[in-house]
Amino acid sequence: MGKPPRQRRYHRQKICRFCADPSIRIDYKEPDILRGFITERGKIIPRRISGTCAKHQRKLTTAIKRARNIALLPFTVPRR
Amino acid sequence: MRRYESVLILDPQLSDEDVQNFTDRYSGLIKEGGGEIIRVQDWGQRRLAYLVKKRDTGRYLLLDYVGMPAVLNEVERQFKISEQVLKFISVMLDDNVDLDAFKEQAPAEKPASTQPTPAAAETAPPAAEPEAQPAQAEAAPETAAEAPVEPAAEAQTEAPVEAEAEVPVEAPAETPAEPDPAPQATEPAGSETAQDEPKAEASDEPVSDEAKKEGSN
Repeated sequence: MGKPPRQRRYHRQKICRFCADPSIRIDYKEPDILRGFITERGKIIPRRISGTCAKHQRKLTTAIKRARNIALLPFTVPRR
Repeated sequence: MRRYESVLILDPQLSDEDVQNFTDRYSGLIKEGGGEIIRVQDWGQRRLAYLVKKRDTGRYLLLDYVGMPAVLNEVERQFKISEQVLKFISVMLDDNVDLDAFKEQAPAEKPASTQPTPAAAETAPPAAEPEAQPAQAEAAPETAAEAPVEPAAEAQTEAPVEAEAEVPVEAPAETPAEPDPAPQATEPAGSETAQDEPKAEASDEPVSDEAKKEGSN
């Protein structure tokens, strides 16, 4: 039983978009910004994938949930 | 005193006049309760992300006001009763606001900055859709007699076109991603990292196996 080849993993430094550009406000009234952080099925993209920092992810989450509540964003995108 | 913000989805069939009456009514209600309305913003007609009361478009209205919690309770109660309101959300913006400070600012702001500031802050949502027309029509209320008919008709004819344009864009993107068990797979931006992670698990497991063997030896 040989050692499994250790895969060299690429690790790209992920940066929080909101830290990088403080001019972007996380606001539930601006669905166009939030739309970048949900999948096409309407799910919130996890932090480990989007690279958003913890602080901004929390704000993002509440903003997305509020936006869903007033029909600016979908809760789900039904599969056809 | 608290500062609240309510976003309302109104019946899209309301005329500009109705909306005006509506805002007048609620600003009266807020003032009655000792509050003050800071700004009212009409986002115009927009497409809803899902059906609300079987309607796929709605007229968005933003009310920004200061008042005691009792004011909010009353306003929300009225929203629930009203047939014109399809849905609403109220958010507390500030816990402790000095109303007098706002009252002093208000007269200075109303002519000058209430219009530019929202425009600067909120251009993104209204500009994205053909909502500029109803907004302009509202800006000139004297022509309201003719105006409400036209923008409504335009908005309705344009909205479906947009809907069709949007749907196909999403649909093809979704079909290839159909094997959905791995949630990362649906995410295009994160696809690289998504590939990384299963590998990470795969490489971890054998290592732990080895560790066990070493331990047993």
